Amino acid sequence: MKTNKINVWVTRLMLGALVFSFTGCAFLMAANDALKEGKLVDNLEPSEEYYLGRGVSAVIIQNYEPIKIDTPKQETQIKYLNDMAGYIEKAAQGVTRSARKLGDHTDRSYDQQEHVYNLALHKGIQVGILNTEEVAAHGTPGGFLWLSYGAIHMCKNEDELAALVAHEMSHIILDHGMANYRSAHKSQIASSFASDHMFPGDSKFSNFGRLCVTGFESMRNGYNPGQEFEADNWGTRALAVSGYKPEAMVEVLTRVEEFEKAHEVKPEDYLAHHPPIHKRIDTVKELIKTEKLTVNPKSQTAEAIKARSDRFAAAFK
Amino acid sequence: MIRLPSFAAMLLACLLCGCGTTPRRPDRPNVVQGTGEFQYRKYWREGESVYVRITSEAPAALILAAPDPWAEPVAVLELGQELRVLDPSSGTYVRVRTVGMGFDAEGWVWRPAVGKKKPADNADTREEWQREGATSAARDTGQPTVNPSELEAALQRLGNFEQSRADVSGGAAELVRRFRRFGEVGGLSDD
Repeated sequence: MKTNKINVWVTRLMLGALVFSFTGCAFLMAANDALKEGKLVDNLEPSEEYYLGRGVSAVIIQNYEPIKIDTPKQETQIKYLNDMAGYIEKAAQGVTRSARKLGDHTDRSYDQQEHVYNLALHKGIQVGILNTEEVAAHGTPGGFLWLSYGAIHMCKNEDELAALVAHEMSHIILDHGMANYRSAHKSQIASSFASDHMFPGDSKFSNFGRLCVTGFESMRNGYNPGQEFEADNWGTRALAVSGYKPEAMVEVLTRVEEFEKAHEVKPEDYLAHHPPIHKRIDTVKELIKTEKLTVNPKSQTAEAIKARSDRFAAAFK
Repeated sequence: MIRLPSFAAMLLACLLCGCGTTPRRPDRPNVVQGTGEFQYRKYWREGESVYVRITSEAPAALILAAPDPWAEPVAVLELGQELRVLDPSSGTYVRVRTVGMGFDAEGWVWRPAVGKKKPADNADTREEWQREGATSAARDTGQPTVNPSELEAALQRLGNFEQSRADVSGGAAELVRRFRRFGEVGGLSDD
């Protein structure tokens, strides 16, 4: 086993020496610089992710105005949502963050997985409300969770709202936004490096090469549907350990399905970028069955249901 | 023309870099083989110093009386606060003692809230990260550029929101008590 590893490295070194003799030092130095720049975004500190998330949130609130916390009603709404998110996050501390255990929908390297296990939020989760009846929900790096009035009003009770919160929270906890950012950042570096060093000049071959590189870059930049399945998976587990019924995730996804049927979803809409909803519903149902996720019976007593119903109504009815 | 030696060098760089596209190693080396028992890796040694990675506004920036998310808070921690590891072998929580806080507090801290590296003061790079985040989000939503003055105004509004939210929320210790109450009132938690 050890000899094999040594052989692999000896081969790599010999290959390196051979390539070096062909290409020269300057090219490898440029390649090294590009790799270093790419690796800079691999292990950001919680504060760096927070400021990056602030930039993302700034773009979100350019499109949708967040509510100000000026009136007692708005204060109740913000406190209610933030307490719910804080409660679920604490209760779900033990829920797995392993990509494999969450259904293998995303591909995280060993180091990226370690980063997810150790992910801490600079200021915790901060929930804000977007003042629009459009259906929109975003979990950004650094702990910002934005829900529109449209998305909140789509939920019929606290359990469904908790499912929506748990789903968006999982995008934060599982580092999805940062994974997309890292991927886009690295492909941009690789693309500009390849354009400069592999396809220089103005010949037809170079132009064609640059075109291929740009095409590859735009493919890498795309949105990752696997993250939605992973977020459904973590969110459903989080609901169960928080005492909510895990079926609430199916119910909220069904609401989204009804909304999609009733409204024409345009390509620029938030929901247009999600995978087919019926597939997500089936996957969640299967997860509840195979993992035997159950509700805390204490939360199903008439008294408990009334308490949740009253505070949900006090905030949003 | 395509430079073939350069292409070979790219290939080599790809082999050596160890980025996300390389085959994944086993998921969790600290799962005891054969038994399936789950055990966190021992990140630190007893007596070693670790530093708080998050601000005192985060509900996790606390020393708790027991290794349990709902345990009573013993002390609120500040970003960069030094702590001495007393018991690294536990799972999600690490037993620590404060260093240089003016008083001695001992208890359990959530493992991801602390790290071996002291957080650097990134005051000079904050704006850069914010701009980077905004540019990336704008690109994802199909906007070609970010208008700096509009971004500045949006960040200002965001700052106002954060401040108002912090004013109605209270500190880390108060937050944990409120979250616990939320679970109890809704009949969600067992306690």
